[in-house]
Amino acid sequence: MATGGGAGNKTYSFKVVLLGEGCVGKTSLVLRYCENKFNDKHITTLQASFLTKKLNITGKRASFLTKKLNITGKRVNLAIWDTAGQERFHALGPIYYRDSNGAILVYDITDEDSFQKVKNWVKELRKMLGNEICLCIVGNKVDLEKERHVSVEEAEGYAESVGAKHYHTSAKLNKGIEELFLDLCKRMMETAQAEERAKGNGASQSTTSRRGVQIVDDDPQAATAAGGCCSSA
Amino acid sequence: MQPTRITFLVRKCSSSQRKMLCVRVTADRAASSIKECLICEEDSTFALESSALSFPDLCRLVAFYCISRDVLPFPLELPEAIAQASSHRKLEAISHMGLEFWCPLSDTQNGPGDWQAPPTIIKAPPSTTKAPPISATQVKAGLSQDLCYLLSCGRQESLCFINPLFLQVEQQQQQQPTQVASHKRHRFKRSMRVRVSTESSMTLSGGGGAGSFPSSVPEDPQDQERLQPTPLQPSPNPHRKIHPGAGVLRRTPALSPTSAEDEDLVPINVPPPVKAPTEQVVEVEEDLPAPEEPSIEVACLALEGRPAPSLAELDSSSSFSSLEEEEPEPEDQFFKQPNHNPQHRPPMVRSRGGHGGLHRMSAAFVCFFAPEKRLARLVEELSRDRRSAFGSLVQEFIQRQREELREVLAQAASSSSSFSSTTSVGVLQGLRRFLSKANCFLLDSGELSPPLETLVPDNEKDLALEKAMFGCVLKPLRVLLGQALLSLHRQDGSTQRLACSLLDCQEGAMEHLGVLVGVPDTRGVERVRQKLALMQRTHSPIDKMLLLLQMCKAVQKAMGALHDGGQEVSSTDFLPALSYVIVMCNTPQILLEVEYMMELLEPSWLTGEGGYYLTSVYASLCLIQSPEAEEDQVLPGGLTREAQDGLREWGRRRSLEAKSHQERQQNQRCVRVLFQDGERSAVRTLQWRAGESSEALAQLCASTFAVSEPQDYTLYWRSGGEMRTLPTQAQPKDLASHSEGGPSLSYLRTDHDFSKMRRLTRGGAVDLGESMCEE
Repeated sequence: MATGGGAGNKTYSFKVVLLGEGCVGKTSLVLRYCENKFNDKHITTLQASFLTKKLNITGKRASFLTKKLNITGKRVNLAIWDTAGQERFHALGPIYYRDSNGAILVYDITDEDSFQKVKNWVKELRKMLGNEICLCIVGNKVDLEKERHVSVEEAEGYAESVGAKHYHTSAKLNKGIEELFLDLCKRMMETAQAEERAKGNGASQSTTSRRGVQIVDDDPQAATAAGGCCSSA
Repeated sequence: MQPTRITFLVRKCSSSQRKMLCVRVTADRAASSIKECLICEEDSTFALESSALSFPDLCRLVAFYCISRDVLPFPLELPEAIAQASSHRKLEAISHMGLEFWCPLSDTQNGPGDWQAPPTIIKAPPSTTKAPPISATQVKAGLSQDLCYLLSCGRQESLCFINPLFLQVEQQQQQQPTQVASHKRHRFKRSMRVRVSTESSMTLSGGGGAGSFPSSVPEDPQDQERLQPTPLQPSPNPHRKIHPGAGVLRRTPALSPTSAEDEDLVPINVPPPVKAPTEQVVEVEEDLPAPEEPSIEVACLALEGRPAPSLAELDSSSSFSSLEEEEPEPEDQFFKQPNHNPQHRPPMVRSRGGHGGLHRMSAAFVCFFAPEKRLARLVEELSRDRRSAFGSLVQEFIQRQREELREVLAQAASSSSSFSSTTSVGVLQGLRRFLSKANCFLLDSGELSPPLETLVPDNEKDLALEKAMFGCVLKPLRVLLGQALLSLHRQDGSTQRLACSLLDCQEGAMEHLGVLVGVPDTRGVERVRQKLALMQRTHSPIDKMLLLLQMCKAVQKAMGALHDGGQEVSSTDFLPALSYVIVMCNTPQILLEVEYMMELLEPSWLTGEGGYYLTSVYASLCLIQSPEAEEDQVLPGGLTREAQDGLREWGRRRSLEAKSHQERQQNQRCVRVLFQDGERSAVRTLQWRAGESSEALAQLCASTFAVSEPQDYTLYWRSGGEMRTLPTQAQPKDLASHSEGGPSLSYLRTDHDFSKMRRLTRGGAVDLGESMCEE
């Protein structure tokens, strides 16, 4: 049984929800991320080794994808929840973003309207989940730069004003996606670690908060019993 | 090669958290003579890293390597005392020696063949991987195909010997151990454990310092000589094709170690480790394919700690343990087929590639051999044994729960309109609380033997344990619980409401729900309906979820039929299609199933793929029931206020549960209490809650062990290697840092003669198995 707080034995499990209007490229974004193999040079400079594994549905029918990462020695399991983008499904949002550690809010840089939708989502998420959810605002389709309708300044300014990070991506050209997810993971890890510290000795415990941060030890029982589990037998 | 011996240790690397087999050639004390071999835990199997052979559990891995070297330089050997132990009683005695087992004996009250050879323990700095973290045993020559392994984990080390009954082996006698296979076989009813848990001392450390071990490595040359291994002849044929140890992989007794079939076993003809008599080899050869030419390749579903295999891995051939169990025991039939030698089962050869075409075939094997299934059986047996602490906990709960459920049914029958304070969610919550409690109680009590770590690979542990809990708690309640839940939903009108919505949506469902993709045809819908019907037959929330995933997969497949051009199909298209299929199935009971899963699955699993699709089904039900669904100008899919509140409440409650569950864990402990009084001795697992004084615990002990004069008895614990009175202010949490091996506490006469006790436990006079039975 895993006991003690060895740095290596912790696995973070994060739930990330993808929100945004239909046709902004949410699904393409996550497919690009989860289905590509990663051996880019910039990853090694970030000292993170990536192990990619597509764990579920074959082909391009994904609405749920997972990704396993190893960031500075810590294992991270990412569960990415795609949502239905159309306005008529908006009300179902809470069912999906409940307990999320992070949210990726996607808009299409050629579509001013989709950016407004992102603003709505931000308001709702902040209201429902508070400040602990890590928000990423993503301007997708930068390959269509010529048709841009959302100015970079406006988007980045807005993101900063609501405590979110802003990214520009292109699922088509595979631009910016890697950074987006890596940054998000790091932020979610920081949030989780801060929460652990706040809980004092909770370093080796699994989730307690409403936020659903999963810090799964190999054996939570053993860990909470201060290493007493084995000996009790 | 020098004739030599191999001593070994299975330990858990504290930094990588992986188990490793450390082997040492005793002739050479240098650190370099230590070979570490990582144990891979993949696809429900255990395997040495460099080997192609994998085993269903750790015991069998070690057993195999006691017989065949495979990738090791030599076969492993068990400490002689264990190898020589010829009875359950002796092994039981060893298991109670704890750390003392490794001490050289000053008083040899046993025959020369018994405990004569104390092992050497080499120590290495804890929590380092690079340094040789070895604790090896040094024993006199003596071979055995018995199984022993030592498992140490983390800083809280425990040491185990397992001598599982499923090993039907010939014991080598001491004279000419390499030549003569004496076919005396022995069996043991239960596997043994030795627990050593001295906090720091058991962290394996190197260099030869004795650390806090009670005895140090004998430096005296005479001792050395005494410890010198009897040279063995090396294997005459290191590349022999036969891996006799394969026999240890025999399934049946391992799966149900205490069942009656155990008694009918014929001995396995396992050739001795070296120089096996030819006739034996031949006999084995008939049955076993050479490992180099594997005939059975088992690719297990890699669950990766998730509650369910992914959708891609699922197909209709997936098996559901909880459903199978209701059919007449398929495994037994399978194994009752005439077989030349049913004892033999070759080690599984790891499939290193993808699962490929073997997947389907292997599914059968998964359900026969899956360690989780074995675990489930062990736990279930334990849960029915009221003499065990776990068993009485479970049985009492089930009894109470049955009464409550009957009451719910009786109430519903007498006055269907009357307000009932019981809700379906309330019932399920109670069950979930108990499942979590029983789960950690089982781990805490240490009553499961062999221990969990040896049965199931690390990454599958939680899932396997959870499934086992479902089996022993939910299965016995299934029928009654189903009736009660149905009745409660009838009372609150929720199933009727859904039934109406489903009917309302029947016509023009495609348009109403905005389906723009392909949907399953009538036959496809029928298949989904069958999945829903199956769902109602299983008690296991996990199996229900697997069925739900199959259902979703069917929907996605149909979607793809229209979108074959590689166009992406996202959640936007999936949700309406799923809703459509649910409407077409017209099965209002789906509401109960969704609720069952949402309430009983571990909250942490609800973030995975199963959770996603469960959420999607829930969302679909909202979509179907949303009041505006029929009016086109109003957005459908709006959640009613009721639904939103319910959802919020659910989320809050589930996370609170997780929190309180942890607090409970910290605030109570199971303590093993050893009771000795003259000839009487017993060990019981008792619960000690935070806030309870040690006096209260002593009272509990008095009643448990039926002591008439409690004032003459005292609770002791081992502290600093000595037995001390348990301080009155002691709390359960203090035990963690104080319990050192064996029973955590001892309940003894105040005038207890400890020197006698020491001898008792050492000399094997305490047979706890029997004393337990006497009660």
